[in-house]
Amino acid sequence: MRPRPSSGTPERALAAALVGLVLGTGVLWARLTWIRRELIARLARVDPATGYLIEELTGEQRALAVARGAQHSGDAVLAWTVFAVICMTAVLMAVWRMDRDRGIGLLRVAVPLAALFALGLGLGLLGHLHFQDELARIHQLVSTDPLETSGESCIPRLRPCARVVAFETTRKLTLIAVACVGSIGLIPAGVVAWRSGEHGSRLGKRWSYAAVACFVVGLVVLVLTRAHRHDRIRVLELCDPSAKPGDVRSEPWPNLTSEELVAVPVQRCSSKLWPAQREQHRWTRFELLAAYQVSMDGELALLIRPGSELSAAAVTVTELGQRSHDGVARARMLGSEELVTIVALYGDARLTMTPLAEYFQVMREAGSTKCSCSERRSSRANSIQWGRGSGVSTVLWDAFASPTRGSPSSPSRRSPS
Amino acid sequence: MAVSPRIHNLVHVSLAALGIAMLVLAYVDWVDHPLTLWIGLP
Repeated sequence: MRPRPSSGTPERALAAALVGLVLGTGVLWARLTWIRRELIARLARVDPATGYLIEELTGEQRALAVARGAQHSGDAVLAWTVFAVICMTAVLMAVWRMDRDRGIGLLRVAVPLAALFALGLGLGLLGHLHFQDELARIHQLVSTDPLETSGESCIPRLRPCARVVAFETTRKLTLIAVACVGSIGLIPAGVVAWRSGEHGSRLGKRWSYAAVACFVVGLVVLVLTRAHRHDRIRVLELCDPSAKPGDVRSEPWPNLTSEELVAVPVQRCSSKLWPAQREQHRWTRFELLAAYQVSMDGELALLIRPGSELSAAAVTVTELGQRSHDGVARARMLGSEELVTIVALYGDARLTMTPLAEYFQVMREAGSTKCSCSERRSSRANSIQWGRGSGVSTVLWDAFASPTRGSPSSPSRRSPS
Repeated sequence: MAVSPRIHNLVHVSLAALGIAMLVLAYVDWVDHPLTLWIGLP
């Protein structure tokens, strides 16, 4: 099919698409900011004296906020990706137009690139959805390493680490495929660009800018997501079966260093704190097998996934907390949500490590953690560290400050009086 | 600037392609954060 002689239509359509994308991203960004501000305004009360949050969001509200935030940020990344793809298509179209007399079809250039893009997005979705069986099957095609499944139900489910490892295999394979398809697809584009140059045709200024914009957007997004890559590498290390038992790296605790989150004034929530907190929350959800939060006055909430062996331990821990209710600490079950059972252990400045040590002893006996505890008090908040040797992790939750004193939104099952 | 049109064209096509490659990588890392895989939820 021969292209029709030049008209301004493709350029105009492209320009409109670009403007639309930039506007759309702006709207997304504004909505995200609005949601954050609304959430803070409605769900959290701020102590005017200190500027800290005095009423924390419930787990549900936080999860909602996180889900919304993540969804919208994801949309923004996708929007920018589409933007860059359009830039690239524009560049290739310009090249093609310069060379159209030689009969180089646009399809020969664009189709492999579309395939490249589709493969990349498909890879993203593969891990995003519930394609566990597929992940496992792909993994077993190239690797003999067994994948651990949990046999709690009649349908075997991959254990979290197995899921991560299986996805890593799939990710590598798909990226290789994407690279191959992309390189093959780009050869004709390169040839066309080179040959057009031989005839003295020069890529126009606008198209040059589009190419540079595409590169810059790619670079910026790559830099912005470096924390995600870091997380992935860290989790892979944690999941490495060859790590020696007892080696701190084999512990299922990500090494969080969130010291900078200590008592961050709420004024910063709208800009910097929230993403950091969201990241932290992500990690906390990540640690759902047993995560806990410590607030300024020493509340310690344990998040346990129901159905895990630790659920039983949670009950023990609750009783333990009640037993040690001597003005130092008390625990209560905040309730069960779909994902977590929350046990909160309240304490004040006199809270000693003894109940906490017992706490974690129970956890350890439940078979899932290998943690030892030490206490460290910063100027403004309690924090609990765990880990071994130099591998000490810290979680600080005082950005959410004091615990809600009222009844939690989810039904309490074992709430002590 | 007296960059030959050939080089000029090729460099810009490469820049755009590199941009796409980085975006795909970033997007995958973003969407498939270990958390997603860990808890098995979208």
